[in-house]
Amino acid sequence: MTTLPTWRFIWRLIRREPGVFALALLCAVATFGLPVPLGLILRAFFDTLTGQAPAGVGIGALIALFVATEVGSTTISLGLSFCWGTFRYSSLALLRHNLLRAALRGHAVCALTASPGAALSRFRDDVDEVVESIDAWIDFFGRVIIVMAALVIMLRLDALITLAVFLPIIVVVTIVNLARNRLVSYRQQSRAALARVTGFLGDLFAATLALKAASATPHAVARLRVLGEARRRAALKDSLFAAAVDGVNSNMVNLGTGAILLLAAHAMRAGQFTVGDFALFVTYLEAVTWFGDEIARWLVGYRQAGVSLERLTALVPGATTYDLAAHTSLNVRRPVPSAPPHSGGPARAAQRLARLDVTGLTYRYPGTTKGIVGIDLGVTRGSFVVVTGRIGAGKTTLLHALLGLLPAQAGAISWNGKVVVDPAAFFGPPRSAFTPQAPRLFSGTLRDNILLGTPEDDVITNALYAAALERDVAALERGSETVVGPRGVRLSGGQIQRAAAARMFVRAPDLYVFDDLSSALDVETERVLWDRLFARPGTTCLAVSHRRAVLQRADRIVVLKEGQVVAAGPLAELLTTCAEMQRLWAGEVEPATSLSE
Amino acid sequence: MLDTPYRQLYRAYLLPRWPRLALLAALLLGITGLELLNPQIVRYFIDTAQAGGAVSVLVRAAALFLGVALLGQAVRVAETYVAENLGWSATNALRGDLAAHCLDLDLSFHHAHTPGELIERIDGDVTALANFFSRFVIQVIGSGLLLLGALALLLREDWRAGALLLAFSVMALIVMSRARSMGARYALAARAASAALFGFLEERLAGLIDIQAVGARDYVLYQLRGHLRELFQHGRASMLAGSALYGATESIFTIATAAVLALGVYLYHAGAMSVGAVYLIVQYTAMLRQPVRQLTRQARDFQNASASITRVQQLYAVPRSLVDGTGRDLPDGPLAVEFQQVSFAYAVDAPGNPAEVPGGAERVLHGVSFRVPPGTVLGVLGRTGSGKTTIARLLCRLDDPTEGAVLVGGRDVRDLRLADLHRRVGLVTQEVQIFGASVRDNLTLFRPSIPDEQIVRALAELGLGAWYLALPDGLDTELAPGGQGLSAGEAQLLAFARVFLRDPAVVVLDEASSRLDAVTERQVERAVDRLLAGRTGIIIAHRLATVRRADAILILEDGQIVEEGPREALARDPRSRFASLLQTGLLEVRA
Repeated sequence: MTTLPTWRFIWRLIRREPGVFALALLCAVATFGLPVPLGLILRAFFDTLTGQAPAGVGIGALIALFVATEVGSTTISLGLSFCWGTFRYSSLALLRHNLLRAALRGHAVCALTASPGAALSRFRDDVDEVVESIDAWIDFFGRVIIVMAALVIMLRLDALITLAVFLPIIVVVTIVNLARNRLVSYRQQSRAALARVTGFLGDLFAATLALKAASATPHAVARLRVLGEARRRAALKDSLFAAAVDGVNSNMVNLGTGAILLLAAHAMRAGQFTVGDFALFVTYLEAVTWFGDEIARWLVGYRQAGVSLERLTALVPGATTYDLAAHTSLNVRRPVPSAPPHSGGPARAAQRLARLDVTGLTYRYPGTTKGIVGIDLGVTRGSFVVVTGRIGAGKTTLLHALLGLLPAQAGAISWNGKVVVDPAAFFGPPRSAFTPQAPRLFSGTLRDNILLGTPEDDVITNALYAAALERDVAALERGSETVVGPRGVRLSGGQIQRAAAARMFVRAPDLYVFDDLSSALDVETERVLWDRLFARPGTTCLAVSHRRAVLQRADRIVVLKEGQVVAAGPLAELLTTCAEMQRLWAGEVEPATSLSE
Repeated sequence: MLDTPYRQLYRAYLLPRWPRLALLAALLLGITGLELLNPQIVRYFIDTAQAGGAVSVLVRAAALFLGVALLGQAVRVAETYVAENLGWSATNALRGDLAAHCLDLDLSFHHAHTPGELIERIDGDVTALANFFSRFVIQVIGSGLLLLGALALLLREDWRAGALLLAFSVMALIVMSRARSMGARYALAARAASAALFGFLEERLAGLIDIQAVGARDYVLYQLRGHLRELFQHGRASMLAGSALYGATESIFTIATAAVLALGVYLYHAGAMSVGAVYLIVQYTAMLRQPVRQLTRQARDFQNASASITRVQQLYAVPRSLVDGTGRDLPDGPLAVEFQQVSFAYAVDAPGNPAEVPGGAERVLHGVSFRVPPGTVLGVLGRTGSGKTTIARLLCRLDDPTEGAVLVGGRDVRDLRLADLHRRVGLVTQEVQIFGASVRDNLTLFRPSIPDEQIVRALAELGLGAWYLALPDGLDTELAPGGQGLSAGEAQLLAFARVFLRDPAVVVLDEASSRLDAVTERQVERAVDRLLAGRTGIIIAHRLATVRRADAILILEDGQIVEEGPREALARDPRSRFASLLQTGLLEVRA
């Protein structure tokens, strides 16, 4: 069994924080229970005032009791906030942490089934949805007890009014609030209309130049206004429906009061139904109305939590609800951060790369024939192996499948003759490091981006030099402490590429893997980088490239065509024996020299 | 309370909608009145019952109560409708005006602000104003009315009860507005922690490959725990602060209720008040909580809205430097293009001076002069940053030259009306922007008057005939934003079709096919030929093949012309730069 039913999932979250959860329940009963004593006190007050049914205590004592009850309940509601707040934020943290951990454990290229933006909304909204559904459990539990107590008290006072007014109210309010499901569809329409407006605004400002050059801005703005109109209509429907449902909730107290007045007219005149009784019934009305709302919230919330749980596990292939609910110590309650993890030290001598072998490696993109089939490849310590081929030949796919960034469908990878069972977990420093074709940096300083948790600071100068980045960094206003901006926007593409290379150098792995540096680096800069890399003795490197300078350096070249190896060997040999290599060598149309040079 | 900026917005966007505003005010008065009426009915009921009045009178009072409750519900829904409608109409108008204003601003403004940022300022800030527009004044007045009404009715009942609750209300307003600003601090910290967490997550989710590539998983999870801890601490604190704030108001009203109860006992025993009246003042006391809460909440919303209004005003205050000309229309037929000693420099203080202008050297063109006779084609070559693109922009008057003049058809472009200039000069850029809209809208750029047959003919002429026939809904087919689902060649041809439809006299191709691979480029060539036929052309390129059809060649370097002449003559002259380029086949390094 790989999935937990929603209630068992929630139960796991509760078992992680049983103390605060139980306390929250107790506080909820005390907080929501306030109307019960309050109604009794008001009843005693009015009945004593009119002398219809004097209570045993004086009216002053009743007022004091009223104040004490209110203040007590208010204080306890603070406790509820604290306990629920602790449980809520602790559970949110756990789910988000476990979800990201699952994504990081997967094959990075296909670890998410949604775009980063869409995935983010699951981390935010779906996780919220699951945890908020537990709030509904607490509120429901708190209310159910007081509603029972209130109903018992009222039944003993006047069974007819209780049954004729209160039970219908619970049913009506529950049904009306269940109609909130409809609300979800209105809300979706309204959000879709909103997305069309913001999407169009984005299009407008991305195409400003084209619009200005065609004097088309007035027409485009007219379209924006049309989309705005559609959004207004959708939003109106949404808020009108919400207002109607909310109105039922808030107005039910008034309608109930009216119904009580109608039914009690006779009894009140006859003195069988006192002003105090009336005050008590009206006080309980609100609590009971809320109960109907709570039932609906609980039911809708529970189902929503189930949907959200499905969306969360569907986001990360291979992740289960067990992974999500796994009890992990996060120390979020401790005010000071814990020490950073110690990343693995240098590879043990026995594990140091002697040779890496790939046999029959196969990965086809689902539903297509594109990919790689039966790739054989060997890299020995100290050698430079270059993978080359046309666009779409499968070069990047080969690197990804080898490093576990994609799940290989067949084939074996062995490290020093031992088969690697889980490449995704195996490859990485100190064994290997990789620079993707389009690397990404994160907000923060250049230095943090390069170190990414690697502890020693002094390695960074060497890494910057090795990555041919030292002059760029010196030219930056704050050197390596320069904040690179979201996704590194303040750096040029070439600088980002070399920062990613520096990320590898600080880790000094056994095997360097590069995916096509030429897309962002000019020939000269790339040459410097290779020079410095191979100045390090014993460097082993696997790279994708189509540049002549790189191919000339290679000890061995692997030529890919349509996902298969068509030839492998030293350049000189391939140039005489391999037609595809000859074509690639000759057809290398590479913008190499500058006009001004 | 309302400063000038608020008044300006109200005058521009709410006053023109005064009938709805008046209706809203009427509905609000109705709601307030109905709310104040109901306790009076209950009091009448209780006193009548206590005095042994007729059952039929009691039943009628109860029915009236129910009627008022139902009417109240209906009026409230109607109020929501009118208020939301008003808010959306007003903010939609504001959004449209702001977008139009921003689109009219200079290109330097657009270099400095990303589309995402402008979306946030036009949609985000204006949406934050929606409540301000539709509800603020109305609710402040409404809450004030309810508060004053309840207090007035209490005073009418008994001056001591009225005075007591007036004092409590004032106290509650003061305490709550103080406490709220304290609570806002916590809420702000929680929001900041949440924004930091999701910013962090978005970047990591987009960078999973990079993280795995260098084995930084544990470190990323460690960083995540830091963000989660921040959100835990600030989120819980904010929750507690909110609940303490709630408790504080509750406590004030608890004391008020207790005081009213005691006063009621005293007055009842003194014979100054009936039991129904005691019940009434307890009801009114409970009723006071809502407007007091509402008023303090509006005070906070007002602060939030102020920030948005300030940003909207700032956006409006950005000036636009290009002034539309007033001259006559250009003559029909092919037009000559001429640059006379044109220099161009970005203003030093221009926001977002483009990065391609290296430190301080803001001068992009320097004394450039050339002439393209009607119906001929000029090829402009040069490396990135040499000023090629600026030529295109000056010609389309997206910027004005700092010195010199740009002439089209012998007339200074600054004298022409922009709409007329753009009708006769068409520009195709390297980036083809596809809108998330129908094929028709993408081609006409939302111009309503172009007949479908003309569009279909243009597509056929440019080699998109087969593509058009394959569209599921013809010209109504929706294209995905960003051009997903279109090949690069198709997107490029669509951009040509946009220009072709307007039948300009001058066509400027700015690196128009540089993104295409060689095979696709050949497919596009025929369309380029068709587009340039009988027109004056300027082709800005970094590939030599692209200027193959040019009559003359111009090579730019660092904003100056370094070579100029008929293409064939230059190609024959072995000492020319053009000839040596033709030999090496190499042009430039793409930045």
